[in-house]
Amino acid sequence: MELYIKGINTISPVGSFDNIDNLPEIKATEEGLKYYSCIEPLAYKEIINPVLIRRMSRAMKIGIASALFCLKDAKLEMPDAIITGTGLGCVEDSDKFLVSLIENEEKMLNPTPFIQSTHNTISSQIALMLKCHGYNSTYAGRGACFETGILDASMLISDGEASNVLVGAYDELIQNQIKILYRLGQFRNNNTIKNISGNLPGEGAAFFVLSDKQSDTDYAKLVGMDIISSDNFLTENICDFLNKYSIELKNINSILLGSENFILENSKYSDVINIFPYSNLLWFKHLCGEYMTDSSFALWLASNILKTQNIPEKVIIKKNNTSALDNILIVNKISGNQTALFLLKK
Amino acid sequence: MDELIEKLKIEIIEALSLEEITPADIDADAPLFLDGLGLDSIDALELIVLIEKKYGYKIQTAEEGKTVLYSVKSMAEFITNRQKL
Repeated sequence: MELYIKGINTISPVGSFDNIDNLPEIKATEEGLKYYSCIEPLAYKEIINPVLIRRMSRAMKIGIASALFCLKDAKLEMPDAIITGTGLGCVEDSDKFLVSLIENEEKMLNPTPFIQSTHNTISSQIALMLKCHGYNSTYAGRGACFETGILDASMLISDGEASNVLVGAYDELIQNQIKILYRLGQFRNNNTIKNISGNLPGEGAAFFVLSDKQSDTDYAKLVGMDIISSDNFLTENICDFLNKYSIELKNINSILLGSENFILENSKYSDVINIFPYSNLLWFKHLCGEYMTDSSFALWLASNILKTQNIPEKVIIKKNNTSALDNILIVNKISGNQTALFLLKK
Repeated sequence: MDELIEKLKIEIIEALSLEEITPADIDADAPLFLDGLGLDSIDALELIVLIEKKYGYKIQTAEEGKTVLYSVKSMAEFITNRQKL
């Protein structure tokens, strides 16, 4: 896998890369349950037809806007393929549809939320807007869906079926979902440290143009990606992954961890950091919260860091390495015992 | 009838999320689809649900739907005629 990242965009709780030093606002529901929500673009109507916007849920707006901004960033009018990943799809529309189903005793249901509640709404809407007749696919495998989308893009490119692929992910957060996530014990409200936490529900959309052709304006090169499906032998699996790309552990400049906070002792990443004593330790979940496709935010962040050669202060847990910033390894525990690995090079 | 037309305009704006349109912008006689408000087939389904939910009258056939959903006035006429039965 050697994919060149030509364009990127995210709509996230932290907004733009320049804004990272201003940590996102932690919001709370009426019951006091904390969460992060996206900073949305003010002028959707400048990029999306107003006739279409009136029906769109927030997931659709952030997903489509992020995809269109990404294409603009890559200076690409028409991708060869469109691939999206989403953990739960358009939850707001699913919520509306199901509530209406109950309230109206399964009669007189409004069609719009039902039509738009499907997971592939966004990739198909992007294709319709661009008039893109190429390959179009959506992965909805909860935790690993964005990673599966990247894998699909890499196979399309390596098989010569596509040269430029628009690949991205989106997940929105709604009030009912926040309550359910807390009720299930997935988040704990009292674990913010100095009012910073990566263990809060979040949301976001991030898109990338991946290409087989290198250019001077690329953000980074995605060298490898893997999904490790068990916590057993995780460190061994990481070593094998790096061996595959002929990189030694000591040569990894920075690792970007999906850690819930900046205290790593006795965390689920303890074993991982032990094998990287010479690498900078970075984290990202305090910028976007935790959601099923948050690896896409990590990939956006790492791409920006490599292109700008600047690691924002707010993402540094520990600085161990002062050598040239030429690679980043993303290690993100995505769901259950699965861990996603992304290796990026300058 | 005029009162019903004004009420329908407000309900249509709300049901179809026509955020930048006011009741005054809607010509009661103008076609709702294509030339007029530029509504489409999904909107047609929403309007059928609106009439059934708010007024309790069901549009029975596609042909009837074309006549009833032609304009706000034709929708009001359909509801008024049913109320008289």
